[in-house]
Amino acid sequence: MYSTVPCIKSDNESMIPSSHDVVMEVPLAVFVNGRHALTAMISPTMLEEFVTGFLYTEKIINKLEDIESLRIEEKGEKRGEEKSPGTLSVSVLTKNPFSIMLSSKTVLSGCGGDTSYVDADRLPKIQSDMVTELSTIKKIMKETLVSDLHTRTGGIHIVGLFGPDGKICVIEDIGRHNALDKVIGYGLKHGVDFSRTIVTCSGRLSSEMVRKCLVANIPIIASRGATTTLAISMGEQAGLAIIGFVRSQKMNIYTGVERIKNQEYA
Amino acid sequence: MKIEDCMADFQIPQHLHYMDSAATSLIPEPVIASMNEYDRQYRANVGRGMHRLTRVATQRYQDAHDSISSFIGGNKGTTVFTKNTTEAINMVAAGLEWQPGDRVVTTIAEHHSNLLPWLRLRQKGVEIVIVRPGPDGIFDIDIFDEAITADTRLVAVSHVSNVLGTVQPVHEIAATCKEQGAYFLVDGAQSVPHFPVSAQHMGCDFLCFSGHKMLGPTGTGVLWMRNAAISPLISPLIIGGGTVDDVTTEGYTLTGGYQRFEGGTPNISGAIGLAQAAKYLESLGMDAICRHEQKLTKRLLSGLANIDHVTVYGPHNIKNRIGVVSFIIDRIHPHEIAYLLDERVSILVRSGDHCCIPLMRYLGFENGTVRASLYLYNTLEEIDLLIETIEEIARMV
Repeated sequence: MYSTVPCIKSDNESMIPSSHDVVMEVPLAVFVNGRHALTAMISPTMLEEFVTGFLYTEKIINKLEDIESLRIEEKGEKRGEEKSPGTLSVSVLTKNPFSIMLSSKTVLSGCGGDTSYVDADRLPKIQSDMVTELSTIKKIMKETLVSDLHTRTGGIHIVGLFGPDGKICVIEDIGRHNALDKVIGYGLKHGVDFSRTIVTCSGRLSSEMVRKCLVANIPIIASRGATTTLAISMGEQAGLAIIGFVRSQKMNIYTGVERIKNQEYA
Repeated sequence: MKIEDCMADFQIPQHLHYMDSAATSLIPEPVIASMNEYDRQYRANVGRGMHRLTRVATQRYQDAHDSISSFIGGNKGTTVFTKNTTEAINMVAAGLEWQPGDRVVTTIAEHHSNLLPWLRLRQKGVEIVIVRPGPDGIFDIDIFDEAITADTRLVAVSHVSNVLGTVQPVHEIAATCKEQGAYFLVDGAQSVPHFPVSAQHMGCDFLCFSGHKMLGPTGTGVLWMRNAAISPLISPLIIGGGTVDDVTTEGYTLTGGYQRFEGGTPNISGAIGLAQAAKYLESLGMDAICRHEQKLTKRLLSGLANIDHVTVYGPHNIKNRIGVVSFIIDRIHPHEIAYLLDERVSILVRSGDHCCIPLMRYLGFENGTVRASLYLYNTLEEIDLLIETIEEIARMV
């Protein structure tokens, strides 16, 4: 997940040759039914989970079983070349590949996975009666942010998925959206009921983060960071609880306050 | 899916009683559909090019290898697609580097396809040792213990006899081969289609079988090799497009994996159909298929045993045998019996030497045998019809 690279460290006026741990970033080309769907800049771990989650949140698949085949390939081995970590690709075949394969446009495009064709006005409403406690949010956020990689590199996003029994997974990636797709992919592969889960995040809760939660029917998302006006508007419409700036004893509940109760004052 | 529910997927049994599955099996509609889908929807070459059709075709072709590896419990090995079992065996016989004095052990019960490639090695000074079974076609493991010596390079044995239906003790033979450092090649043409086979668990180094005997299309077969260390020892039968990492005017570097052995454009729709056939068999369950065939075989063996002038060869109970039943009727040529079964009641069986002339001579079958070979689409009613008709024919004696 990281490489130790040389650098010059400067402190005041000094310049000293040194080294630092830097997170790995690789382009990942994803092909769906023979078509190039996206190239994501990604941390090279849990690629199967990422692609599964991405296809799900982009509504290319409706369930895990819609994937007929998923192959990860690392190129650069031919002609005696040394393996380079920068040539990863994933090819996916869905159960009925021909609608996508034969369409006139590539289904998805974009660099970094941020471009989506899902219509924000037609996003689903959250179907869940889940309620949680302030103390739970504080506890799971603390659990999420324990990251050796973050401490080493200062350059990683962390996204967690928590259920009624606690932590389901905590995943790191250079991109928040990638990490959330990995978390959702992990949940799909493990049969998680998303309607009983909370997503935690180290970074900003954008409309794209919200959209992914809505598609997956995750009722609560909380972050150490800020949110956006569009994210709040979407959350309000869909019944998603958005909580920002979860730090120490504080947090801002922007939407879905009915899902959050305070046990201490009950 | 239950076995009785699969009958709708086969057209031939709606008109005929097909009992020649040891030669080639019938093919169900989903397998035909998978091949048609390739030709109609995404026909393209594999491993070449960047366009959408070649990507889909390549992925389905790669997945077909994985499906077959999984079907035979051989995920750790290399699964190469061939034309048939014969080609797979020839690839090993012609691909290994032989030295004068090397020794190959095989049996007299082999199909010609698992005998001729070895006999030809005599031209290279290889000693071919041929062991013989007891009168019921079953080998005593002691015979192999004696025959497989330290200078034995390879042992080639059919898992199941295509004449007698007997299941040979491959696990024990594999253990002896391992002790003596010999490669072990198993001809699984008659076993893989009929009961669960785990290549890795069996302990063989090479497993060869045909797709067309396991509900797949003709022109498909498999050579499975135990691990990545073995495949480089086999020189590919053909080389060319798709088999290389690099080529210069001075030479070439062969690639690894199955691609090393599959020169030129392969039988793509066949591979896709074969994978679909494996999925179809898995959906029925190989254990369930085996039990179904045992039920049919038991009824057939007991029915034939009570008919005067009829002699059944091979084990007379279903232990260590499959639904390949060879028999003769005194003083009636096997071809005549096969003809009468077809003409009178539309039962289709094989007659003759079954590509096993040395075995026929050894067992004293001058004209060969009649062979009824059963599969999942056969029924007890068909078995009763066969018994009844054989009884009628035997009364002609």
